[in-house]
Amino acid sequence: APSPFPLPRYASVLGPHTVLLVFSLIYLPRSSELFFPLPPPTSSLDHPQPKWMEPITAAPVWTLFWVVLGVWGCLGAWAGSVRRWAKSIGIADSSSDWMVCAIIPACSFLSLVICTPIYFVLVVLFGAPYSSYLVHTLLLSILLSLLTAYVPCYVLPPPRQDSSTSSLVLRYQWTRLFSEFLTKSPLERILVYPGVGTLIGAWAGAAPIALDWDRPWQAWPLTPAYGAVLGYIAGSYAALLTSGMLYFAAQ
Amino acid sequence: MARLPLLSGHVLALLLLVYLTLLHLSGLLLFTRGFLLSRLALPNIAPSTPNTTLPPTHSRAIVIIIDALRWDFLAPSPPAPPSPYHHNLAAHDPSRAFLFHSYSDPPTATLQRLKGLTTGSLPTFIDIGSNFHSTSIKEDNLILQLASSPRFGRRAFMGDDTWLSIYPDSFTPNLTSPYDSFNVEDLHTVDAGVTSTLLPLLSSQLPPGTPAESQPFQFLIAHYLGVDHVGHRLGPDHPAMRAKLLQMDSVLRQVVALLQEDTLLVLLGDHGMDPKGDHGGDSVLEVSTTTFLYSLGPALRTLPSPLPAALTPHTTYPGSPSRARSIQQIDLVPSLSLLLGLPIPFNNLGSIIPELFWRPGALESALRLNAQQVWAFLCAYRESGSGKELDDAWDGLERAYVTAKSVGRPVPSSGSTDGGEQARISINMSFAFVRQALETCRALWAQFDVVLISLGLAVLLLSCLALGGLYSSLARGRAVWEEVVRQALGAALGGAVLGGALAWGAGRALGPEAGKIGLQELVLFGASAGSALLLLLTTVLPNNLPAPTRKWDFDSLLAATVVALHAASFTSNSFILWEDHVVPFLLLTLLLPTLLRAPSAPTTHLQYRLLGFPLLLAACIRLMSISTVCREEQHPNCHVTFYASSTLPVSPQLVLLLALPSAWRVLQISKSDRGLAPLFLEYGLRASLLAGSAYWLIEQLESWRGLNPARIPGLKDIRMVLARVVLSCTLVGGYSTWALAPPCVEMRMSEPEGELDKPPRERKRQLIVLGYTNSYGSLYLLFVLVFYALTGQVVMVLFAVALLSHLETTDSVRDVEMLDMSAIAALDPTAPAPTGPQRAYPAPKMVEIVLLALLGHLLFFATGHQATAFIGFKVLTYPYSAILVVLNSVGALFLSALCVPLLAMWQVSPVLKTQEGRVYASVGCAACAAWLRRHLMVWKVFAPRFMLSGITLIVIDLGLILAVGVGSAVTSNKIRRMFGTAP
Repeated sequence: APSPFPLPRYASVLGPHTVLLVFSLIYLPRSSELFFPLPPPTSSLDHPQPKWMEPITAAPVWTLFWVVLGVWGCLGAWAGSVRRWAKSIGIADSSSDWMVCAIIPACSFLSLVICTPIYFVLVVLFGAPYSSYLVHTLLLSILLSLLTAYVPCYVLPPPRQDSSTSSLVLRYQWTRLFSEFLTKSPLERILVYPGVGTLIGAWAGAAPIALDWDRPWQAWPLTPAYGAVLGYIAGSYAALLTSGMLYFAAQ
Repeated sequence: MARLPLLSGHVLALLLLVYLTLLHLSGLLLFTRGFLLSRLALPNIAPSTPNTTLPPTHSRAIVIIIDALRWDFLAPSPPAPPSPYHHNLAAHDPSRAFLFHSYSDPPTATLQRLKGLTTGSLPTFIDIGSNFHSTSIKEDNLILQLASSPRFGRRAFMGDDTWLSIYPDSFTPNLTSPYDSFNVEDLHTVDAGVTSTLLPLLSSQLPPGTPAESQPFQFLIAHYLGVDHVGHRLGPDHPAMRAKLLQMDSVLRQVVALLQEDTLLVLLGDHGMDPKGDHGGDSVLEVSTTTFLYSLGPALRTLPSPLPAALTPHTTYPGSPSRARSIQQIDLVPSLSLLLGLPIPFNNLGSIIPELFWRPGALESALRLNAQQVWAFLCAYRESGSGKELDDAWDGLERAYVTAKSVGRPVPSSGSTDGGEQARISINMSFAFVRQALETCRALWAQFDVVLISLGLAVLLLSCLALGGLYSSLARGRAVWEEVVRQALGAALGGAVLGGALAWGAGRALGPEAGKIGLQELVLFGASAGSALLLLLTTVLPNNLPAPTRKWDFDSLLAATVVALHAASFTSNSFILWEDHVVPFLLLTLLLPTLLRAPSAPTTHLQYRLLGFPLLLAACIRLMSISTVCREEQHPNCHVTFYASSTLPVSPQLVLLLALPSAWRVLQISKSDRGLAPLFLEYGLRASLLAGSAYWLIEQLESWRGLNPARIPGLKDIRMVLARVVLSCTLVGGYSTWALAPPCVEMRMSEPEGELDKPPRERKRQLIVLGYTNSYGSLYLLFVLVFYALTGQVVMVLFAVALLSHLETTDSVRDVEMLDMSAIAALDPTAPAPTGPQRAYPAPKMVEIVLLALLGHLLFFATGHQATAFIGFKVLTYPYSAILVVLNSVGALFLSALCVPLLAMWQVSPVLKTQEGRVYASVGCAACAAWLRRHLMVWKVFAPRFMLSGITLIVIDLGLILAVGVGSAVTSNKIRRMFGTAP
């Protein structure tokens, strides 16, 4: 019989995961300084921003690049843990066939390739410039696909189009999770909640851009990107909280 | 009341809508009375005759304006503890140099201050009579008087380019060097530029003694911006401020060194700044500024005796150890005019500065001229259309003037001002009269009436609540809605009578203690508040209506959030500035859930529809939002993309390429799904669209450089004929077709309750029916289409596509719900079968209507409007432009109101819901405008936005009345014809 979901393990890994994500938000963008001198700030010279923010705001494209890289690394490790837990409770395909080992990472990578253009279009539809800042928007789309699609595609078997019962059930599971946002187990919450948090965070991150504060951090797309990662973290903790409360309620 | 039960359904609905419109109107009226300050700008110009002028003391003048020069920056006795960063002026000669604390009237924004500084009048939000579009001043003013005097032939200007926007042609072109005032980041460019023009010009003066006429300039304005920019960026207490003030000091020293004896030097700040360095409001620090006058040659003050104390008011600057001599900033206008030998500008309300005229005989005659001029202005104003405003204060003013005049008359040439007691009284009286006039006018024009503002807000809020209550009881009692409406109208009528009578009684009892609020306003408030309150009570009190069936689902929550966000965005000037981007963002937010839910739709066909149509809608929204005109504040992040052909010589190629195909394409879309569109839709609509495009194309051609329009005779006439053909075609042809067409619209209404029993094919036909209605909706579009320039047409076409996709999306969502229902019913036969009219034709959800309202809003921006520019339209070429102008500006909003019935099949409750959303927006907007009435941006951002939303509300109301009135009348006629009975 499948053992219950290892909620304490999840809780203990979530801490380092969060720390690493925050690290890739705040410290990783400083790597730019290793490769080239940062361009001097051009706006708000009279109101200097805190020193630690300077490497983040100096070159938004590079900041986004480092954040994407950092998040990718974090999520790679994280996806492995989640898949192990999924295996332990018998949800993921538990065969250790080399085919599966090769196919699964390929699938999650493919999810990025598919999702990035979709997010790109969506972000432009929401009002991002359509003729400029294309690299900025592209990096934001990659970040959004990473945060929302990478882990689910790594953990759950990809949906298939044939008409067997197992494919039907699988398709139903995908639409239930990512179209109706109905979750039934702790694992499903771990897969869905951070994604929803990401979208809400990125959505809310668009608001400060319009303000006339003239701060360097208002540069596109820093606020939606940071909002997305923070939303992801909040979603992860919301998943833990919900599952924990339901667990204790059931006890 | 007795006749009400006999009224049929749609008359009742109309009455209800009219009532609500009246309610909104009264709320807006009350609020506007308190909020929007207005004054009539008289066109009169003071004549230059010996009777209106004094002999000049100076033949030339230099006016140096240091933006935001607060009083304590220069004060001889600065506040304790003194800021180490401020700079104090050295002691000066008391007969040739004068330093005053001066009070500048709020709003303390540069443009308003410059107007005040030159006209001597008070700032208001609307100067009625002037051209709304341009900012240039048409009133009599100092600059105009200078320009019309032969003695001031060369007028130099350097500095803030705001001057040139209000006086475009008043300065000598080769002596004019404007600098962009926009970049607050830049602390030095303007100042360095001004100094580098000013000092060489002063050095190029001919030696003293040369006649003033041959000097390189006779009048000079130098406007420095650095102090203001330092304030905005760093605040007043910053080392940079001291550096800046030292720089200004050194400029002043150099100017004084180059000054000649015939020249009067005036140095002033236009306003102060608050502790953060901002300005615009009416706090003491913002209105305290400095005026410094210096005359190297003639002494302005020769009498040894002290001035009468009544003429020299003093004020204490916060924290200052001693009192400072204080003047009104506009006092400079009459003083400067008389010192330079010019007449006082006609609209001036300032009084002369007595110190400058404290010479034998001068003060009395100056004050006499001053009092005469103010009296002439008051008389002229009283005779004008707005003269009633002065009624209450008139007796007092008249008495004061007559007294001053009669005291002055017996000794017209008493020789010594110093001696005669009579002269002293005359001076005091004249001064008192001018000040009284100023105070009266200030109370009339420059004070917000908080009580009226709150009354207006209360009425709007109550109407909002009443609307909500009414909506909920209508939603519950849909079957007996006529009864509900009848009750509501009765309650409203009763409430109005009761409230009005109460208010009248209260007003009578209070009498004059009611303050500034007139009896009419009190009764208006009583009636509207009473009726709204009673209406609310009848809907809230327990009744026999069924309990609400629909709970708050996610979509309604989302829609409510979006409406709340939109209303909340009015608290920030940034969001109002960027509203043309905020609205599409909110629209997309509304669409996203539908998109995300698409894969869970039961059939593949529906999945595709639910993915495709919202995406198409989103694409249309994004494309529409590309077309925009920019606000000044959006610079440099915004580019104008809405091209009005009349202002651009080169046609925007992309738009030209898009125009025709998109006009063609939209009709294919509106036709393709149905196949039974009548002849008119197939050909008439297309032809009109093409003709509309052709009209604008021809206009483009006319302005094209490669073509000589004169060579083609009658090109203009062709254009004119085209326009009129299109207009009559759409008006007559379109609407008659619509009225005569077979009543397919009613398929859904006549359907029996048992919707679920029908085979899917039947439901399929409903789609056709709805689509058919949509193609009628495009008639609405056509109606306003021709009023827009080419870009506007493309946008309108996009709007049509968006509208159709929205309706299709809505339809698909409803189909999904229907199928889900039937699936549940099929799986579980014991489940209660959905019954009642709710299931027969699902009521439109809030999200659908909010989306439509926002879409209309977006259309407003996309057709080349910005919330401030709503009243400054371009001039259209053909006649009857008044209606066209109105349609051009609010057509977009009107249109979205007209389209509501498309969602709702002429039902009343959804219409109310639209109004409710609108009212929330307006109330939010009004509340923010009231709350932020002292905000820096109130004149530029909040007040225009409030006016826009007020107009919007009324337009939507009228649009709904029209839609329900005409639409439902036609529809019920058709039903009657079809079934032979009344519905």
